[in-house]
This record gives sequence, structure tokens and C-alpha cells, in this order.
Amino acid sequence: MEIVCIVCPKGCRAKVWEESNEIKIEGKLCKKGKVYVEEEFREPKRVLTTTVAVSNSNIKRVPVRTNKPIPKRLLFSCMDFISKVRITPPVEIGNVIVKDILGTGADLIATNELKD
Amino acid sequence: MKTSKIDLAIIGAGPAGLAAAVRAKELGIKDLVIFERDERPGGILNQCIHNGFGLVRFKEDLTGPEYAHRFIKEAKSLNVDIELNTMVLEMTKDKEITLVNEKDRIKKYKCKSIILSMGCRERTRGAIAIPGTRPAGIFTAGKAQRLINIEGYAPGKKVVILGSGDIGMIMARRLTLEGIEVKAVVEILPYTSGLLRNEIQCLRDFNIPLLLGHTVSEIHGDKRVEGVTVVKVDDNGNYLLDTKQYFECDTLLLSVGLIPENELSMMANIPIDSYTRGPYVNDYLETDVEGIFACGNVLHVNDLVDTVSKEGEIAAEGAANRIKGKFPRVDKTILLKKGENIAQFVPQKLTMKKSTTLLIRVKTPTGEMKLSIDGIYKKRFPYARPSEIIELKIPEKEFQNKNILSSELKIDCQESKNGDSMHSLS
Amino acid sequence: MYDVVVIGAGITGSMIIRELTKYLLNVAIIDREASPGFGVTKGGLSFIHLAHFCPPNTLKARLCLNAPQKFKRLAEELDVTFKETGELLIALKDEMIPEIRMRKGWGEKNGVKGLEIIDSKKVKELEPNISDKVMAALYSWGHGLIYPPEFCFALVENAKQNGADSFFNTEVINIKKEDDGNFAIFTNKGVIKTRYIINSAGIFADEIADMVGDKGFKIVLTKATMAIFDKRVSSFVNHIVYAGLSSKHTQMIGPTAHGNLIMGLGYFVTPESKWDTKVTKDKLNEIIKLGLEMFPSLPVGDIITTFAGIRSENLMVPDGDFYIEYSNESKRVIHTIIGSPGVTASPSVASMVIDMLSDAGLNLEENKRFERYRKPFPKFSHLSLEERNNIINENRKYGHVICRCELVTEAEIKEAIARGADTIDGIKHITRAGMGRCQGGFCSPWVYKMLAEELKVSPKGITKKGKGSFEVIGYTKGEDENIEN
Repeated sequence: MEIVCIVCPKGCRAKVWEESNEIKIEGKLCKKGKVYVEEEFREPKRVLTTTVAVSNSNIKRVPVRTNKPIPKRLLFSCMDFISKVRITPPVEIGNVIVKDILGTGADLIATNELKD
Repeated sequence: MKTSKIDLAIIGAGPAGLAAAVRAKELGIKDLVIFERDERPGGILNQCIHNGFGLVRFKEDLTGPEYAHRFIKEAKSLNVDIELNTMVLEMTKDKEITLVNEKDRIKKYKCKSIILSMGCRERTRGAIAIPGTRPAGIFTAGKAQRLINIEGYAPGKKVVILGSGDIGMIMARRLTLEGIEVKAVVEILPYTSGLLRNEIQCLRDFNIPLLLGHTVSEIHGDKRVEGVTVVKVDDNGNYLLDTKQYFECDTLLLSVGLIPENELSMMANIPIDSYTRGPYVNDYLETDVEGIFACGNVLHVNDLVDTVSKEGEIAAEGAANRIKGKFPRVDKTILLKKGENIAQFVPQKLTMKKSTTLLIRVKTPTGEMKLSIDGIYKKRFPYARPSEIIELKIPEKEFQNKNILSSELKIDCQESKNGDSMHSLS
Repeated sequence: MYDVVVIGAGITGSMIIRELTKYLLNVAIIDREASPGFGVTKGGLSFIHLAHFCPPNTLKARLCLNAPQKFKRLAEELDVTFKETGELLIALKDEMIPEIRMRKGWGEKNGVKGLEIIDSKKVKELEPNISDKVMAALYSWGHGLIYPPEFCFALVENAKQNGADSFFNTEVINIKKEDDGNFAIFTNKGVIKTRYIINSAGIFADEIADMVGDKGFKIVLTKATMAIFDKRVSSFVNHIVYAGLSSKHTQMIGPTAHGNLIMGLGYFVTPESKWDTKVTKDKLNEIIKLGLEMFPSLPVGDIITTFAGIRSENLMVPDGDFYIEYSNESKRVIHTIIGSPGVTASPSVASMVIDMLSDAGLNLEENKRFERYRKPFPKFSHLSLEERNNIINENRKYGHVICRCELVTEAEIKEAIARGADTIDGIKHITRAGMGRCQGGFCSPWVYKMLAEELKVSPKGITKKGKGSFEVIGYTKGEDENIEN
């Protein structure tokens, strides 16, 4: 498959495939680029940022994020899970809203505060 | 009606204003207030819940609110006074401002110095005159972002996005994650106008079709959007009518440009650069009115908030010097003019009293190129895209020992003949 | 049983209903839209003309007499915007000079004073940015500027203050004449019974006429396109400037009551239907091209919005004069099928209709408790700094500015909702919130919230202009799934 490297804005392209349990890369890439492209091929990961619904408040939403990237294939399942979560004030930045979300090892944390 | 005196008034408690306030306090300015129209500080960052902020400044990958929080916390610890739900109604050339809020009603301040950090607004459907009907369901991307991230509203079920700027692409991802279908992102230029990272992580990741060289030629629907017609355009932006495609949708998002919000600046007769649509400033970010400084998106549309914070700090340094009476005497100011392939830049004037960084946008993408200031200073860059500001750092020593006779210098961007050409994606 | 029901709350209907409340009558007004003046009235220009616009010896000429004074007095009573301005009918070519001479003649015959034909030098003094091609112009002072939807809203509000009922979002489906000579009006919200009916339904007047048995009422529709400019460039044009008045096209640029510039109308076209108010790129380019002919340095980049409006003329009266007649089926139904200049003529049309009702047997007893002054609606943007300071003392919410571009405060938006504006456009047209250069970019999320809170509706109940024009579809996390929309 073709992967575009996004480590720097140059956007070098590479063809990546697996051959006898080894990852093959075709394309001019720098050192950082090679690392990114390999990981992207093996298991693409993304930081998920979204909001959580608030109950009992005039403020309706608190923004949240995963504290580390999670597998791309789990993004929508996480969104589904999060849509059912309700939080109440007070919330501080960095508070863990959901620990180890869907077994990814990443916590869902608040990125803005919610005052009482 | 109260009229008070104040050393420093900062208009806008977004990232630019907050950084300016913190720096001003650090430099010993005690008598300062930030006036903010919204109900909390942080400006637009409050609704930018995605990550990618602070990579340069903090070497961390933060979300908008987290980035803002760094400065809000710092401002709190330095006892920075922020007046919320407060609107500045007028500003004069004599640095007098008139404001209104519920608590103090109408009040005026005579300021020693003012820092403008009002940010920008979005270009609207009306301003680009998209033909068709006027139903509900047309939003600028920023407004949709506020609705979805702050109020929790889903703007619609099926969306078409016009404009591939960062806000448009970020919203494409946001909507998709919330289960809203994004049918296409339509861009009039032959390349996207946002960061490459966003093209991959917002569009490619979700297989959202990107139509380059296209635009929306008509909006349909009487009460609510029912669909849009999309056409290919020629090099001059004219519709190629035989390429019409109809997209059924109930929502149209517009990400077609940001305009610095300089109403107050114009009231004070501060000269505005028609290219940046912000004030002319020198390397201290001082406008043509002594004591009034500008920073952040009100000065020019930035692409990285890290740069916005830096501008806030530079403005604060200049303002602090004015207040303390320590502003360097400027004998000669050089006016910089646009040359080849230059769209806009700040600062437009150089006092040559300090090192400075020119923030430049090119008109069209290039591969390896050379930025030069009329033979005085030049630097090579591997590539340039209009959507990414190029930083041209000029150390102070470059101005010394150079007998610059003229008062105007040109900036040019010349593409190298045999350089590595820019990788394009489509 | 109502004595009189007015069908259509455009400028004509709104004037009539208010006039009716000066008498002891049971009256009501019906309109299919969510707010008064949302039909033809909203899609037109907003000038109160002097009578040189009308051929002499016509009904419309008579009805346009002294219109600006009438509107000025009404504006004071209703606390709405009214400004006075001058007008120039310019000739850019030789062939246009007979036209402006003819108009001068019309004006003089209609009793208009102060009409002057001035030379190009004088025109240039009055309008420095005008094309060098201008040869002469018909100049007159004393034209009025209003904002019609604001006017309609205030007229209806005042009428309600004086006892009238109003039914909005209400569509007339059929009308049945009963044996006793009264009428049953069938609407989508139920039946309304009345003794007399006024048909002021604008471009739907032919359909209403048909329902009462007057078949074959012919109206012809034309569509015109308009553009509004940023207030920043207001001083670019100082008067209402018209060029080329004909049945085929008219081009004008002039001030609005609120300080913007408006430009229109282009070559008239036939709309595809009564609902076709879409703006086409061709028409937009056309009005810009025509505008540039009048003002070569027109600040086209400062256009903040464009829209199109449908107007109608009747084909029953020669020369497109107004048709204000009893129904052929009953003297208890009066049709007001007007055209341009409908806004200008509306106060006089209302008086005429009252006379016709009296002639048709309606007993008009003076309502001694008629309150001619609407409850004042202070606008923060119109007040001086001192006045602003004071009003915040009375109502703290005047200190919270919501719409930055037009300086509209929370107090005004709350008041508009309290007075019956229950849509985004309704609030927009009465308070100006959302009509500025950012077109609601900053303020509308606030307005949505305020509407949802005051009206106690779910998100889908926040509409742009009534049923079906919902702004958002709900909450993203399904919080409103069990709530009735």
C-alpha cells in the first residue's frame, strides 16, 4: 500500500508491503520517516479527540482526548462508547473520564475544566 | 460614565492576548487588563478540541483548550485581570477606548498602550455569493465547530464541505467521528489549502472524497438545504457547466477564508495592509499609531498558534517599552514591498533595531526556492506552500554595516531551476 | 366570529390590521410564514417614494401622495427606523433624458414639489463616485427609508396590543361562503369564521381570489436580484440613485434604513415558481455589471450578502395600476392586488380599504382606547453613550453585547422573542442580530441557545424561518432522542 509520510510537511511517499515476515519499503525516506511509515503500516494509531456530554449543567460538553494514540480501527467503537458517558461538574483538566478505554491502555482525559 | 487611566489595555483574551498579558507582567507592567467579549478566556482555542497545538512551543501535542490553559494558568498566577463578557465599542487614535459590560455599564479608559488581539472572523456565504436559495443548514466551519463542540448540537446528517483549509478538514473528521456523513470536501484550487497532516488524518483516514479544482455552483432547498451542485472550474475560477454533479445533503459547511477583525483598528484610523487585512506594523509589531500594537490573527491569519503566542510576546515587549519610556529611538524605517510570488508578510516595516522574523506566505506552491530582500539578505528553503507561513529569521547583525540607502526594499521568492520539486498529493 | 380577517401580513396587510384596530371590531390577521413581512415584502427594496414614480391620474399615484410623511409619523408611533434621503434618477445616455423629463412631469402632475433636473456637474457634486457618463439627473429630496419586515412586525404588534389576533405559520386552504353571508376560512390550523375578508396575500392573492369564487385573476410575477454592502462603504453613495427605469429593467444603488448600501434589480425575469427566490450567478454578475456602469469604482468586494425577491403586478388593470376592488361574489371581500410601489402606497391603501369596508356595510365605531404608541423597543446601537449607560441601569442585559457587528444586546434579543419573534430570521429582521458582516458567525450560537431556552423547545425547534427550516438536527450524544420535536 502507499503511505504518505506526515512527519514533516514534505510529504514523501513510500510503497510498503510485507514479504516473508519483513516489512519492505520502497521510496526515499529519512530516518524519522522510515519509523513512521513502518508503524503506520503495522498498526496505525491516532489520538482521539472528542467531547463528552454533561448532565445537570448549563454547559453541555467537555472536550476530551486519549492520553496516547489508540489503534485507528477502534476510533468509532470508542466514539460509540463515549456517546453514552455522562459527566457532572466539577471537572479539572487532566481528570480521567474513562480509564483504559476499550482495553487500549489509553485513558480518556478532560482537556478543559468544568466548573461547579 | 467612568473614565479611568490604564497603562496597558489588551483587547481579546485568546492565545495572542493571553501571551501578551503574561509577558507584559513578566516585564513588570502591573496596570493591565484584558477585555474579552466571550464568557471565558481562551478565544477560539476553546472550540478547537483537536490536537496538534504546541508542537513547536512546548514540544508537546496538545489540544486547543490544553494549550490555552497553559497561558490561563500562568495569567492567573501572575494576577492578570481579565474582564469577561465585555465588548470594546470604540477606540480612538489617542488610545482611548470605550467599553460596555453588565457590571460597569459604559466606561472609558485612556491607555498608555494598547495591544490588539481580536482575532478574525470567517468569510461567509454572502461574501462569496454562492448562487441558489437561502435555506437553513449553511454554516461556516467555525460556527459549526462551536455548535458541535460547545453546544453539543449535530448540525445535520449529510454534509458537503466547501474549502479544504484546516478548519474544513478538521471539521470533516469531527463530523465523521460523530456519525455524520461527509460526502465530499470541495476545493477550488488544484491543491488543498491546509496542512498535509490534516489531509491524511482528516480526509484519507476516513475515505472522504476530495474534489480539487471544483466549487459549489448552487445551493438547493427551500427551508433546509436539500443538496448542492458542484462543478469543475477553469484556471480563472469560472464554472465548467458540463461537469455539474449533484450531491444530496442537508448541510453545507464553508471553510473559505478568515478575515482579521479590524473594525476597532479602522475606527482609530490605523492604516491597514490590504493583503494581510491587518494593520501595517514594524518589527516591534507596533502599528502606525504609536503605542498601539497588534498580534495574532488580527494582524494576519496565522497557521500555528505557537507563532501567535510569540507575536503576543513581541507586542508586549514593545508595549512595555513604550510604557516605561524605554522604546528605542527609530531613525529610519524601511518599508518592505511584495516582489515575485509573495502573497503577504508581516512585519511590513523594519526599524533595524532588533533581530526580527518575517512571516511570509507565497502565492503559489514552489519547490526549492530562495527568499531574498533586495540583495541584502537571502535564504534558501526546500519548498513553499501558500497554506504554510515561512519564517525568515533576520539577525540584527545583518542590518549593521550595510549602507541601506533606500527606504523601500522588495522581498522576492524565486524558485530554483533544478531543485527538488514539491511533492503534490493528487 | 371575527368581523374582519386580513389574509397576508405583508406591508399591506400589516397596515390594514393596525388601521382596523382603531375601530371597535373583532379582527385577526393570518399569514403562512412565521413572521410578518416574510413574503414579497422581505424580498424588495425599502424605499418610500415620492409620487413621481407613478403615472398621473392613476390609483397608485393617489395612494402614494405624501407617503414619506405618513411613514415618518408611523415610525414615531411604532418606534421603528425611518430615515429621510434624496434621490437621483440619472441619465447615462442621451436616450434616457426624455425618461427623466417624463418623470418630472408625472411628479408635478401628482403634486410633488421640489423636483429639479440638474446637470452632470451638480450630479457629480452630490455623488462624487458616479460615472463620468452621467449627463443629467432628476433630483428630489424627501424620500423615506424603512426596513419593511421591522415595520410589519411593529404594525402587527401594535395591532395585537389593541386587541387584534394573529395566526402565523397558518396557511389558508379553502374559503367557504356560508348561507348567512359570512365566511369560513379553512386553514392548516383549523377553521376561522369571519364576516369580512381582506385579501392582501401578495403573490398568492390570485389563489385566495380563486377560493372566494373570483376566477381568472391574473398576476404576473417578476424576480429581481439584490446585493447588500458592508456598512464600511456606506459613504460611497449618498442618495438613492436609479438608472434606466423601464418595464424591462431597473438598476439602483442606495442607502438602507440601517446604514448599508443596497443594489439591484437587474433585468426582470420570470421566476420558475412562486417559491423561486434563488440567486443565479448570471443575475448577480448582471447587477454588478450594471452597477459598475453607474459607479465604476463600486466596492464589489464589500458585498456581504445577496438575495432575490419576487414581486407581482396584476393584469386586470391597464398599465399595471393597483387593483383594489370588491370581490365579484361579495362586497364583503376586498382584494388588494398591488404591485410596485407597494410599500410606499400601503398606508393609503389601508385607509382606502377601511372606507370600502364602511361602504360595504361594516359599522365603524371609534375605538377610544386605541393605543397608537407601540411599547418602545430601545436599540442599543441607536442610543448615545449616555443613554446606553442609563438603559443598562434599567435592564442589565443591555450591557451584554451578543451581535458584535450590529451591536445588538442580550436584552433586545430576549425582548424580540418575548414580542413574538420565534425564529432566527424573525429575531434577525427585528433586532439586526446576524445581519452584519460576519452574518451570524459569532452571535447565532447564542441566539440558538436563547431561543431554545425561552421557547422551551428541543434543538429541532430552533428554525431559521418556521417549520422545516430547522437549524440543527439534535444533540450529538443522543440526549434528545426521547424528546418530542
